[in-house]
This record gives sequence, structure tokens and C-alpha cells, in this order.
Amino acid sequence: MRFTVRTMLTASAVTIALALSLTGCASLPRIIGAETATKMETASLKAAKTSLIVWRITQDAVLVYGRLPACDPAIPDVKVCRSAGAWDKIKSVELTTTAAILAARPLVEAGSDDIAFLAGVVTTVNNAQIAIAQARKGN
Amino acid sequence: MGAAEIIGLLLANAPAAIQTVGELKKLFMEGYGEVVAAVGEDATREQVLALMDEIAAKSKEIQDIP
Repeated sequence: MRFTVRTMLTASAVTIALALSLTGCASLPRIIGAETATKMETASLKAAKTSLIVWRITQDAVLVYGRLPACDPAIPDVKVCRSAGAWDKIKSVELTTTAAILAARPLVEAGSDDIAFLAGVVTTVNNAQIAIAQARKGN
Repeated sequence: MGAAEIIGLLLANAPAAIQTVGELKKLFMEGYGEVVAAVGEDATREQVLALMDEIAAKSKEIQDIP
């Protein structure tokens, strides 16, 4: 009797597990997929916003440099000045980076879930900062 | 160029240096706070678009400097 009850209980458990796997659990990947997609979009927007703030601050620093008086080769002792060569490079990097950032604007406006594009903003800003640092060093 | 002239030039350059350091320090302090705040809160598309507008305006200012 005890063996029969145990067998029935086991059979019931197996049946329930099978039913769950074939019905309820079949929709689970879709639910996980949607949640994951939302989380990824939220994280991408946050990363894009943070990178854009970093870029705006970088632009402010570029403006500080750009407003310095131009360096005069006849007065090499004056170090607080704007080197013409470095300034040209910095302006070029700034223009390219801002253009790349603004290219993503239609996607953001349209509410596109193009996460890769938003994530690309982070890389663009990072690369620009490296390029500006190199320009300042004269590379 | 004599030592007196060099000292004169350096002193003449000092206000610009002090102003530049002050501006950069202010940028760092304010920027650091803003970035930390941004990391701690969620972002909206409207915020991202507003930042893009600010970036476009600042880019014009930069590119206008010869």
C-alpha cells in the first residue's frame, strides 16, 4: 500500500513537472528575454547618459584650453598657452566625436531599442578622450 | 632675453595660469559630482536628447575658436 502511494506520488510529481515544462515553462524564455532586453536598454541609456556627461565635461575642458592665448615660439617660457598644432588635432577629434554622438540622435528620438548603437557612444567618448590626451602630449 | 624680462613674462602669465587652474578645478569638482550622480540614477531618453543638444551647442563654441 505504502509502495503504491509512493509510486503514485512520484508519478504525479513527474506529470506536474512535465506539464510545467511543456506549458508554463515554455513561455519562460520569452519572459526572461523581455526582462533582459528591458534591463539591457535601461543599462545602455544609463551608460550613454553618463558618457555624454563625461563628453560635455571634456568639451568644457577643451574650451578652457581653446580660450588660452596662442603660444608664441619667440617666448618659449610662457607655458600657459594654446599650441596651434595640438589645438587643430583637438578640434578635429572633437568634431568627429560629436558628429558620431549626434548620429545616434534619430535612433534615440524614435525610441529605438538599438542597444549596440547606444553602447557605441561609450566607446566613442572613450576613444576621443584618448585621442585628445595624445594631441595634448604632441603625439 | 634677460632674467628680469623672463620673470616679467612669467608674472604676466600668472593670472592666466591661476584662472586656468581654477576653471579646471571647478570643472573637475562639479563634473565628478555630476558623473557620480548619473551612475546612481536611471536615465531617460529625454535626458539623453537634452545632453546631445548641449553637446551640439558646445561643439559649435569650440569649432568657432580659430
